[in-house]
Amino acid sequence: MVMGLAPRLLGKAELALSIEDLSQANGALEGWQPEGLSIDGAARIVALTMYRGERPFAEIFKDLRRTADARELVALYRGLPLYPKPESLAFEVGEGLRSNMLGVFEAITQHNPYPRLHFDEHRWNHMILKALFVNSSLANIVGLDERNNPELARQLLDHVHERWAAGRGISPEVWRYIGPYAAEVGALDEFERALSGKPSEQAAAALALANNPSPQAKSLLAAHPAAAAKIAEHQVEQANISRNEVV
Amino acid sequence: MFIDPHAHMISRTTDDYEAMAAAGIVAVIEPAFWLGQPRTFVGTYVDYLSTIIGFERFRAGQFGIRHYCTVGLNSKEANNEELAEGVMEWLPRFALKEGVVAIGEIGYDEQTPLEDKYFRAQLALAKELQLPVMVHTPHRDKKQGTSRSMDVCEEMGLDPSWVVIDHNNEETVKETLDRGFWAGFSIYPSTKMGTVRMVELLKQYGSERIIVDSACDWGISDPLAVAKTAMLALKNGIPAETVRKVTYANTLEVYGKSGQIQESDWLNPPEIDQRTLYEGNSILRGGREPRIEAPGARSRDSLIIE
Amino acid sequence: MSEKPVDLLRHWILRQAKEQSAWFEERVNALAEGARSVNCIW
Repeated sequence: MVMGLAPRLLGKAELALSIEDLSQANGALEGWQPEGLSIDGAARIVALTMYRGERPFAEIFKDLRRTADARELVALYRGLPLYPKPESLAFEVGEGLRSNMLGVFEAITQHNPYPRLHFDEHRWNHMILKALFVNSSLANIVGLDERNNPELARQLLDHVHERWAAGRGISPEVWRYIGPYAAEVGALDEFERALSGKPSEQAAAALALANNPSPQAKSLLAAHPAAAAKIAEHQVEQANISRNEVV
Repeated sequence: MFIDPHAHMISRTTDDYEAMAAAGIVAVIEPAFWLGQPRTFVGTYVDYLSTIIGFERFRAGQFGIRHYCTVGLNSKEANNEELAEGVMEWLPRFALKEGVVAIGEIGYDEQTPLEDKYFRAQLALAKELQLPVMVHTPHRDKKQGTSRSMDVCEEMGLDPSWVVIDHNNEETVKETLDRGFWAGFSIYPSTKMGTVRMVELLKQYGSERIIVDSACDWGISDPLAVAKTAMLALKNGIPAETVRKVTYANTLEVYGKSGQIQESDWLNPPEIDQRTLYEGNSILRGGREPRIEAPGARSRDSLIIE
Repeated sequence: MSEKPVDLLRHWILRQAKEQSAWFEERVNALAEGARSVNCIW
């Protein structure tokens, strides 16, 4: 009953980690970010990782997952980078991604190297789309630039159209992932509009185009000097472009 | 601040949550119960327990209400022996989940041998796991059924101060209180207790070991019943401290014995909860006065949905 | 020397756990051996 008793016996305080600890963590497993883990959550992860039961790991995981309370689910999914046989957990991860509990979804998607390493393109893209749908910040997803792809750019462009048509805001974060494929997916007009939009939109769109070496991207930037000027300001502050500025 | 210690929120809409939050309800306890029509597979029961522990808790949190639950095999479904045996196997595992404050709601519906068997088994479990118990008293043959429920609790060695006998009325309250149990009253139109009658009972019995709840469910019932009872009581000269006890403090005292509910959960929620599970009660934070407004009242008149 | 992530976690938990460190260590060791009596990892 380790999983059940962990919070009662160890408490629920956040695990106190120093900069050195975090650096060690990254050294032990690239991209692993244990900050924000609670002590009982960490204990649950250790228990499951160390457990040598007779059944395949995925079955044990399923057994725990299907009757887990929300904090157990968060711990189960935050432990993904550590578990044996990660490829065998595709269905289990899918259940977590489909969760309506934001914390559970984010336990998989944020600060977690697992998606970058194990998601196929379809699952990767749908993770990003769902994050936008539920107002979950993209900024903490690991591997966004590395796993970017033209199909995602196309889907994000559709997302932009949909939100504009409904008179709803768009997270400024999306432009970065359309940027590299701007010409390819036919997003130049949309960038034009963003470059003339609100300040955070301008900054996001300009930064996104700055990484696109095509002549179309360059001429768009040249035509919008005010937006382009924001590149210098924001270059080192990519994190400033957050979902909190949904316009 | 109020707590509703008996609310089947799985059957209620977000209008109710909004209205409850605005009325000053900071926490609810959702007892495991039947669902309107009988379950026929053990798996649906298991998934239901998972839901009241998981998603419903999250759903409530989005409206700034902290949600807790009880787990147990209810009296109606105890009559399906195959189902009952299956559920009893799973129960201990759920009893340890976060936010589970008691075994319940258990007891008698019709007072059959099978109901008796599983009532006893669950009392034994509660004793073993050191959890309070929420007892549902029957709606038919209530006086005798309530007496019998208390007899069985005592036979099974339960400490009455760990047991809430719910759905009391004028006929059962004296015995419940005399025997040292907590007396719950469900303010539920037509079939259970009413606010005016409740105020009379408070005049007569005071606040000791008395708890007010709504028992709101799939039927015509009122999720604001606890707040309304409080308001009516104050208007009728019941002392504020009495009202506070029966609509807040007593609930905390008995269910707090589980270690799974405490005031700091809503007054000073842990940061990790705020990030993942609980939006906090904006009414509390903003220092606004609670107000009682029928669920959905504001949106009902507007043609604009955005 | 690079430790495995699970060992790091274990170390950090013990560092913070105080009175319950012994309980935690004992449980984890039992789980690692697949002890039947602890089949209820839940």
